Amino acid sequence: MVRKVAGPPAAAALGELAPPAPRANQDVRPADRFEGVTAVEKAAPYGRLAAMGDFSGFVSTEVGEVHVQVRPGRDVGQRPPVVFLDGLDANGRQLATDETVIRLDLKGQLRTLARDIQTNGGRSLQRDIDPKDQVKAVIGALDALGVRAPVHVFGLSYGGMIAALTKQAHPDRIGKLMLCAPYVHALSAGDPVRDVARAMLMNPFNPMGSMMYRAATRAVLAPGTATVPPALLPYAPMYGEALYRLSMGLEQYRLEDVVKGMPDVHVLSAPADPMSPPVSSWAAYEGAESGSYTLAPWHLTMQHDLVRMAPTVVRRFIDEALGADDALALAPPEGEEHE
Amino acid sequence: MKAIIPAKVTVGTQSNLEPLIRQMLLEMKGLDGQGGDVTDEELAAAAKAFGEELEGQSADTLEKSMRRTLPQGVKVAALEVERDGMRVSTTTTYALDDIKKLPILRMSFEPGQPRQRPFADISVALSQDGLTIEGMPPPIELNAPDVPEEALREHALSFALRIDLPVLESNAVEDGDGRLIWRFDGARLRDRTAEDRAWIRVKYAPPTSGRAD
Repeated sequence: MVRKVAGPPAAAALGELAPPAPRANQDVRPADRFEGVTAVEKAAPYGRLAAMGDFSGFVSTEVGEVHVQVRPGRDVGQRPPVVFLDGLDANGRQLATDETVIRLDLKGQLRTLARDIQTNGGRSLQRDIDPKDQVKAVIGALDALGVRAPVHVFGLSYGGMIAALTKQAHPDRIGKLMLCAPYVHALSAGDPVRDVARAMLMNPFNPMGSMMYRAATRAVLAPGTATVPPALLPYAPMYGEALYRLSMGLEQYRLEDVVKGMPDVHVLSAPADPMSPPVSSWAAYEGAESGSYTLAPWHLTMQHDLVRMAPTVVRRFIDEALGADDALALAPPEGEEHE
Repeated sequence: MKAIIPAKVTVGTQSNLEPLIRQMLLEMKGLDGQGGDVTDEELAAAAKAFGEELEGQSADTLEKSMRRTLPQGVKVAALEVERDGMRVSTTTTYALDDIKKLPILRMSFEPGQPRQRPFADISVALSQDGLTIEGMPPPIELNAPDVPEEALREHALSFALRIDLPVLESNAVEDGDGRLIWRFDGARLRDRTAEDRAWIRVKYAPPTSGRAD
């Protein structure tokens, strides 16, 4: 059973939990979201997506080619799809939901990375991968797919931060923000070991602290420590470098800064997840304007990869976040009535 | 008094990165659901890779960036890293043509990064009684609650002074070679309060070539 928490997870974890209290401004008025779009788009805002059917291929964006996989779900063409942004290691996870899913391989991830290696020699890995470029990749891919109406976005871990940054930069393009075990902060405020290391390495008595931290990160992310996805086996050394470049790119970001005041922020977290401590994701969620916070069941304690390990929990989380009366459902065309 | 007093100031850091690297490995295993503890073999492989990474890095970029942003008369005399497994020590020596410049030093460690003021909490006062240097090491800012004492003691900072004047009094340790050294471990730095003063304190005899204002 998925438990929604209405208080800080540590306190709430001891007993049966009440459903979350409604947050202020939780309702989204659908009509407001569609100002300025054409009548055709109003009638079928995701019509081009519906026409595509199952699709897997590359689309061009201003930051390069991005691999996109479209899996049509219920009422494709009418219901907003869910964009799925995978975790750092992007090993081909599939999102458990009946909604239409647009799965993106961001820069440095899976097929997008393989294409970059094949065509450019892995140019995207020459420096840390800027999360702002990832936001451009998301929006560019949606544009390329002809999706101009708002979509929902689900991000796991690294993908969670990119999802949040996308909604922050393009609030008109993103409806519900669903964060699963999201990246909170690199040298996490919730973890004592990392916190001490950050404080000491970044001390002004240590000009080489940043270099030392980078060396430690690269060493840990070197080939052999992470399971290389089959699609990247021919490029295993580059995969380790990609993890490093993706990871270092996020160093300056804190989730609580990004989602502060943001509406429709829904968080799913596993108890005692060391990579995304609930105490930290809760602190970020508390700053959001509206949404929900869900703590996964105890048998998932310390599990980070909930998409793979707990598809049923994820499915229910998505259903509950989207709500029965889908907040982004279309306003009926003029002259028609809701059934 | 007005006098030019050359000095060498050395700051050092000692850090055991094993806990950090172990934690990162643990997180990597959690990333794709492998789970489980970090094995000795995994830690040894990461330690080896860490050493290779660190040795492959060049301090030239840092040194150039620092040199570009330091004021005239101040040089980086040494920038060194020593490693023993995952324990890393750094030593940075600044050569100043006049110790009075110490508190105002600002430098950028990496191009484009904000300038740092490592000695902002240290004062230098010269009078007819002598040269007094006192102050505090940079504070450390911890966010995590309940950081274990042993984790803090894996890290330390040091501050050393070499000035060619007789020492009248100090709370430092002398290294036998005319150098005064102060050392602070992470636990002491964590416990620092706003009321703490002069963890670093030394009074030298006045320079004989100075003149009264």
